[in-house]
Amino acid sequence: MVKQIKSPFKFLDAYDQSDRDIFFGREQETQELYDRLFETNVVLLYGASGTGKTSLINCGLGNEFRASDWLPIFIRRRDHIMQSIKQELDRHAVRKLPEESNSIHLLHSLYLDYYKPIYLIFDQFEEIFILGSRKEQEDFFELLYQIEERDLNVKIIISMREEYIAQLSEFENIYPSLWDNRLRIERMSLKNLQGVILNTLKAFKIEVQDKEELLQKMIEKVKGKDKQVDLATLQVYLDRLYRLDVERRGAEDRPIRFDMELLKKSGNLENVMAFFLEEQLRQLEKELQNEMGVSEKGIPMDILFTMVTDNGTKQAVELDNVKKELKRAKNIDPKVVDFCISRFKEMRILRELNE
Amino acid sequence: MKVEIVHDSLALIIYEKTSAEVKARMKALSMLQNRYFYYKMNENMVLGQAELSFIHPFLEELNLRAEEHAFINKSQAILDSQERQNRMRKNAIILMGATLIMTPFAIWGWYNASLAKTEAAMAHKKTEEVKKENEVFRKAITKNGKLKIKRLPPESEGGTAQLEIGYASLFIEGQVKDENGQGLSNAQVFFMGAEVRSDPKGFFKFNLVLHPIDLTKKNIILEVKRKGYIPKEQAIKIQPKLKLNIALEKVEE
Repeated sequence: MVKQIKSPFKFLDAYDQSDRDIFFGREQETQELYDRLFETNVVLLYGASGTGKTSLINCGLGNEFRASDWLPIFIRRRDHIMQSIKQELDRHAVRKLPEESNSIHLLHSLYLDYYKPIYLIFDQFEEIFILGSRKEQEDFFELLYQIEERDLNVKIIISMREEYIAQLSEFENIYPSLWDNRLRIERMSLKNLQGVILNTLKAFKIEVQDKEELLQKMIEKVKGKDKQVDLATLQVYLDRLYRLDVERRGAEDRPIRFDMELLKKSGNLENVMAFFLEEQLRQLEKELQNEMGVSEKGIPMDILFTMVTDNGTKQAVELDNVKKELKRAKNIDPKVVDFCISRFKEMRILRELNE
Repeated sequence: MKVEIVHDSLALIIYEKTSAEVKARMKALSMLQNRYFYYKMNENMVLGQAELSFIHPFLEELNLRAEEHAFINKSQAILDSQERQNRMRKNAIILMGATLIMTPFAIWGWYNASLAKTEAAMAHKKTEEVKKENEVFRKAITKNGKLKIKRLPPESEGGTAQLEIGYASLFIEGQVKDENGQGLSNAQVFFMGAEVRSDPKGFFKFNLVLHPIDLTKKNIILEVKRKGYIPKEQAIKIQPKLKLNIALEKVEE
């Protein structure tokens, strides 16, 4: 049943440009980011995990620009940031340049292809500090400096988790401008949060009963140990309520409704995210047994664990390597891994990184 | 194809759900891979003792590659070699230190031993001398019935004989004269280490206590000196009382 219900909530995905009508609560931050980019060529956007930085750029900022105003190029580090920059620039290029062309040449050519300001948007930038070498980091900041020096029509947005911004200070001598143009994304205020919930439910035509009390109780439930609300956790919770009401509604012909009774049904959740994960893993292990004849427990968790750093953050992995490692270390059949990965993607626990 | 967990908050939950043991194993692997990365750039960057101890419990489970195993083995071999050298160095230092500390004691001990030996020898000699003295004294008594003696006590503790011997008294008197027979004042008269000066008329006297060994000597020398006169020595035969007249000759100018 969990497999078949598809809720409208973003769940753990970031909002993108197409989510304009359901993106709420960050109007002020969006405007601020937009204004900053006219004042300067580089902006450092930082904040705690789960504050919605990626959504702010993709959806918030993305909807401020018209398509003719900007050429956004989203870059993730993947294996090496300098390679990824060249790959993305090449992918967008109309006129293809020789392989040995450097990034400065590629940027020159790209501008001439589109005649639009190029926006290099580095998302999850902290990966360069978690996984990258010192040389890679230096090369990157040197490139930024070169871009600024040559006055190319390029704007840069660096989005990263605030726990890592101290590491930028080491490169101030190479590229001093970065720290001067920073914008912090705070945790959403309670008032904004209530607005986000109500507007989202309204956008999805979900009925709300006992509005005041409901909102208060909902926010209480999703608060973490630090008494703050993680927006991703909120999405998972709303998704859960949605599914519960689908079950509760059954064949009844009525819109989905959130009320106090539904809230009570959702129980006292220690941790919405943990509960969600347990539920999915239980489901997947059942499927492994029934469909693949695998009775050994813990395989889905072993797979997920390969994608977690020893700091407890996510890390992108090459699937072939994961299969080899799990075969070697735990004798897990690669076909079992393929099955789990496919199901994890459907459950919206994993995503594929676009090549 | 590259895949990732959709959100950090989910990654954190997955991380927290794993056991402490798995987390430790993961940290060990992460540390090893990181160190191996730097080792490939510089072969001097091997693992230290703390790192090897951290990895050791997980070696079987980690299923490492052959080159990673080789890296660990090389690090361990270098560490073992260093430890052996340190042990040898330490032993040498301890030996040197012990020698330095013990040498003064050894010297002191040897010195004391020598001293004790010498003292023992001296004590033995003294004992022999005393025995000899006693024998002499006993003979002296036989020869000269006027001398009184005390019986010798047994040897005391410590091996040194304590002797009580009756010393003999000797009274000598006389006059120092010049060649004209006139008494000479302020003449120095030496006898048995004692000294007296003659009075204005040249008279002198000694009242001496003699050691028995001296009593065995037949003659003892008496010496007289005076400024302007030739010093004179005279052999004296031991008698309880002596009266002497000594004439000095003037020094020729």
